[in-house]
Amino acid sequence: MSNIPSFLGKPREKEISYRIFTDLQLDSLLSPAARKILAFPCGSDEILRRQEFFKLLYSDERIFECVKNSISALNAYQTAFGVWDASSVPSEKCYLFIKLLEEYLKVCSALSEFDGFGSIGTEIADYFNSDFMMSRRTKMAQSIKNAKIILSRVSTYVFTYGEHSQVSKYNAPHTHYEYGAALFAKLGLTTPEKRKMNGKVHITLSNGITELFGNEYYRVSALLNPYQSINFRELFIYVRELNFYKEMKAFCEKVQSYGIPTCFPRVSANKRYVCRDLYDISLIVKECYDIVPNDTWFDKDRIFFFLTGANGGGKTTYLRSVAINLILFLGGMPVFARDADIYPFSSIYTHFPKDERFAQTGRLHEEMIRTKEILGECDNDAFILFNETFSGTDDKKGFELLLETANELKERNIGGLYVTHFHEISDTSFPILGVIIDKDDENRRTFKISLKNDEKCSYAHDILVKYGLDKASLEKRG
Amino acid sequence: MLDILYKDELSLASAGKMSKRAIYHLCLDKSLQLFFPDLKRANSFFDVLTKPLTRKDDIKFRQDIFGDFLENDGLFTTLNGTFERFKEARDSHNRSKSTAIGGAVSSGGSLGIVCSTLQMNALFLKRALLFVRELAKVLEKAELKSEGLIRVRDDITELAFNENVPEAIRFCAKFEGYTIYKNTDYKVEINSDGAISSCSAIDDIYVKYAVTEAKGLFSFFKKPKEEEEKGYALIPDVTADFYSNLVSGALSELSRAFESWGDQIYKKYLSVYNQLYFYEIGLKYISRTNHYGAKTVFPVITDKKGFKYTDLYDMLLVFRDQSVNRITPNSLSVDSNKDGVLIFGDNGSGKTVFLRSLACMQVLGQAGLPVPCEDAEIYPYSSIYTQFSEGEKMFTKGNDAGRFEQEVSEIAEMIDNLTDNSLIILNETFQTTAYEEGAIGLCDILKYFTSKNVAWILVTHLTQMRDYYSNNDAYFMRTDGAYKVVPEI
Repeated sequence: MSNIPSFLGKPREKEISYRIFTDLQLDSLLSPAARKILAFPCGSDEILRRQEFFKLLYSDERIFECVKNSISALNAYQTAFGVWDASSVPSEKCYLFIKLLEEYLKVCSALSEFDGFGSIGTEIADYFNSDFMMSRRTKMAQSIKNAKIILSRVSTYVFTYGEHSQVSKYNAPHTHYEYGAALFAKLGLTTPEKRKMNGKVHITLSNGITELFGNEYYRVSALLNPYQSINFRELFIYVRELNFYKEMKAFCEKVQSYGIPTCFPRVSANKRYVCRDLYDISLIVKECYDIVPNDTWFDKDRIFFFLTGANGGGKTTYLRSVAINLILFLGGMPVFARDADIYPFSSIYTHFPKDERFAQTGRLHEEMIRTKEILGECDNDAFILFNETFSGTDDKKGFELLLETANELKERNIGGLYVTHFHEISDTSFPILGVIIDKDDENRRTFKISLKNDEKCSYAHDILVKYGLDKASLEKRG
Repeated sequence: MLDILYKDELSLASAGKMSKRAIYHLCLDKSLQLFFPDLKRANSFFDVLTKPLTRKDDIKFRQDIFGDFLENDGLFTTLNGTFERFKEARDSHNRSKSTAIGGAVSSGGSLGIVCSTLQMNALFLKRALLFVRELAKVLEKAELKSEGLIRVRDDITELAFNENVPEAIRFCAKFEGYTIYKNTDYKVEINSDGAISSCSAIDDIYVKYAVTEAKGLFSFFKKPKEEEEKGYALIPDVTADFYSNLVSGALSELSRAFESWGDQIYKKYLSVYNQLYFYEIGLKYISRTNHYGAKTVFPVITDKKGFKYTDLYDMLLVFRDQSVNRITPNSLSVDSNKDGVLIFGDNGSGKTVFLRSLACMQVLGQAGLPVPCEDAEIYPYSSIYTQFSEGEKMFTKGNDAGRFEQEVSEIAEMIDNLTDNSLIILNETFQTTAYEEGAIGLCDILKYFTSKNVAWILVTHLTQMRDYYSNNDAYFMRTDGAYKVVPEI
């Protein structure tokens, strides 16, 4: 079990399903490695810890340099480890171990540079600058130096092939190649630079070399022995972690280049998901850059909404914007909005229609099973998004199932959004969002989502919430 | 790089321009076709003509080389023959390498390929060194006066008689017979990854070999352990594959070095050989022209613009008739006091022949070649442009212009690229429209040429030109009915 500090801390154990990322098109925007990290939502402490680091990454060029340098050092280190690990030839393994130690030192040095960069950076740097690590690094550097001096004396020898193949010490004044180069230079001709070979040393040859230079190899092995017990693999974790930050920074900058804002949401203690101008960045996959932002109004009293409205009005887009930004928030990343205040929900679930390719059951049956599974699996702190669930049956039956689901969510106080064409929902007490259509302009789709007037709630309050000036928001600001 | 076409780096940079179309207009391709062994050489020759030299010294550079070839009987043939043999040796070397690779691949031996290639590269390098010596001897025998050939001789002599050449030849000979069965000692170097970074063959005289004890009567007596290091260690289980890979690497590098040394010599002198074709064609042209009864002279290069020559023949007619007996030569002496030259005359009276011979003289003269006349003086124009009345161009996408428009477009392109001190040769331009309109348009263009310090000669049926130009502005000439062009009074 590793004891080294982490750039990502400890997320929750419950994993967001891969299918959710595909439903939201996030698989097209993020690498599998980043997706894997975002699949584990964090609690408030870890969100704040990551936010602090990410903010610094954004604002301080030095920290980004540190990240890049560390990644570069780690990549070289990983390669060195792989080559060393794969080698089975003693003389070669000796050289490769020195190379591995050199790369190890470079990684330690790069990681110790994070000192002062937030709590994460300080924790990492403290570890690599600790007395134990500094002592190890100093001794290791000296051992490497001495070992290299010894090996430099034994890196050249003569190989003879024949009835009695042998290796012997090299004492010749020149090779044929060197002699020819010097001779033809006198005629004004240049000699091409010798290409480097990269030939593996045969095990028998290795045995010959170590016998020929037995004393030297013994001294080198004595210098390197103390470091064999190091758990070299434990540093690999940083490759994944730092690449995640690097990728997310590049990703955010790319999205920002289309004029889309980012912000670090405040972490709410109460259940809420209130944003101003939230964007669905998955539209970028479709090369749609003129994205209409929308607000969200999920709070303590209305943590679950239905969303109805005209086809093609932006319902699914809205749903995706809610889900994608929530995943980013729970991963400690910025969200694509002007302002946000979000509760660290325990997990996210989506229920999107599937292609009708079920072997045994019909669409409705499959949807019912999936809904049941989600509700069975999630805790009351989860956030669930339904996209036209139960539309695969008649109005009556579908609406019944919808109400049944909504009532359970309400009862358990689970947050979520349900996109539906069942307009009968307006007759219930559930809060409802609607799509705004410009009727004066041939029913033009504005892609704006609003609270429905017939919800009978105060419009003034919503405005206050939108700008973070409602009572709850003000209290939180302090 | 050794160069026998251009005196120095500035020669090509300062050369003018002439379109390939001008070669066609002036029938140079047709006139000289007899002398081209192949299309590639023809194109290379015309490529030189399309870069007219503009500096007196550059033209003289080529004239002098022709002079050396003309004065040293057999020099060109011997020199060219020596180069051809060298090129043949090179081609043969390349063919042998391909065959060796093919053979070795079929027998599955990569070490065999490397070893054969090393032998062949060493052999070719030896041949290259011997070729240089032969070439040096040929050039040393000749009495050279031209800067170009003296430069080549000096360069070749310096290498050929370098004191290290005999040792270099011996070194090559050593590897001509190199075999992996006899030569088996290699210096091996290990890099920081513990891998073999270099492997090079060495002489066995520097190697300390293991002493293997013969089993005899007293073999049960063991030798006491030596205190000092043995200096070697036996490795009994080395596989043939490992040996093959290691040695292939070592010999490949040595082989590559031999190849590079041979290439450097070959390419250096190949550039001379590749330029000899120009003189080959030039010498054939001189010889044949003289044979048909026309004298050839190297024109005097003058700083004064104009045209001055005596009894100039049209090459196309000379080579067609294979005699000058029935051909009328023309002479001309005009200076730059007027804007240009206007030539009128009846159909078939010799206007175009006159224009062509004049233009050919200019092109050949600026290329350093002699011209078929008694004497000539030429001014090195910065560029030479021609516009000859032609049939309609191909019907291709984007080309929907008629003949007149084609001509206009050609003139427009010419003007776009016009440089100071150019020469423009026009033959029956703008006769594809109403003559009056053609004449007005053409006059404006000719005056523009004059304003840009561009010389021009026009052969035309547009008599209206007389309304816009007077004898004071341009030289008016006409054909006299006996293929002579004379001043119009």
